[in-house]
Amino acid sequence: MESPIDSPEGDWWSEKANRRETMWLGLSGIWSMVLFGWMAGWTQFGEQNQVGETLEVPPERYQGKVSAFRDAATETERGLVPPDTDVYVGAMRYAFDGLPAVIEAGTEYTFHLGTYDVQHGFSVRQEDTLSKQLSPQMLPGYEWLMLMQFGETGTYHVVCNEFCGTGHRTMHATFEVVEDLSAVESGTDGGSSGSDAGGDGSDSGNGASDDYGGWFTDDASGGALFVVAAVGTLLGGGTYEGDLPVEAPTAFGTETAVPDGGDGTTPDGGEHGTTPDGGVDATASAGGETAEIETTDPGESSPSWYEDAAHHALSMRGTFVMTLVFPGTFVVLWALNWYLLSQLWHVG
Amino acid sequence: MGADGIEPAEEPWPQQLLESPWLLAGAALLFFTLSYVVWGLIDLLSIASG
Repeated sequence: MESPIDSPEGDWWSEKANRRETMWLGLSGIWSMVLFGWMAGWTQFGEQNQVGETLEVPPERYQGKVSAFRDAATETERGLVPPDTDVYVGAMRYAFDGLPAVIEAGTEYTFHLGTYDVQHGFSVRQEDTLSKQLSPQMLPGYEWLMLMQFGETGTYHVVCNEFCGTGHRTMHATFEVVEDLSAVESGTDGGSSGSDAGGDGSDSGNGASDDYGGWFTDDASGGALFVVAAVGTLLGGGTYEGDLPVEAPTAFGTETAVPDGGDGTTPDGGEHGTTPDGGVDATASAGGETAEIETTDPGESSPSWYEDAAHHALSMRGTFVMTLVFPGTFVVLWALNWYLLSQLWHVG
Repeated sequence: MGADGIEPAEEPWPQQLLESPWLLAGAALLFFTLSYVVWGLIDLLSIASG
């Protein structure tokens, strides 16, 4: 049987196509352009993605901007109240400089996102609706200006969602969204028990890890780290030589070493980062008491094979292999599909 | 050169491309690789200094 999709003999390209075929191809072309434009337009105008201006800023300069923000902001028990509608957040291993902050519901703020060392994530969730989340990335060398407006009051948890080192899982901060910012500034609304303006009031304003819905664990070895280590060992191989840009910043407002008293010998070979708030990643107060989430680095006290191996996953080698595996798999599957179809259709 | 001594007309390159799945696959990969690289370069070069 002759296949209907066998090419005609000779030069068919130069023959004049039937008008209906030309029309059909034209319609298909126009429709594909519409779909393409739709996709691009939806990204830009559909308010479905976080877009915004990006600036190229060296990490040291960005650190200066965040410091200036902290100086200009009003310090309250519940966090920094920005002087205007700009909020600066500087991520670093393993804290968010500029947080905790207190902002007003319904006001559009410009969040400036940047990092001092490596890539971090800025994953934001309201404590009462943990399923709702936005997850932008923060890149060293860039400042991302993102417009954000919060309708729901309450405490918002911020976690890093980009694996950034052995203390990644402890990288957490909060900011609070309140109805009346002036009440917070004047202190009339500060520390007024857990029933502040936020959410259902049951546990708002309490930055303790109990609020955290299980994101933190007490497992110092980090269960997830094991999986990363296993994948990293498979992909990376060899010995990690500390080629990550792990130099920690040294000039934060208040330089205080992390409370675990590490000697700076982390498996990544870099100096341990200091946090601007006295070794505490996030503080928030409720009922006059300040809850603290401590920064601990499991890698400092007991580096083990898998913590070390986890760095393989982050090394360039593992990433490089990964990027080859994906397109390679695609090409093989695509070619196999074509081969099988060509057998079925008697093509070629 | 054909058996009758007449040179068969060469097929135009678009026809050769469409008749060979391998050539078409290569062209597709090349097109999208170049597109994404150029897109990325435009993105990077259009970032203002802050």
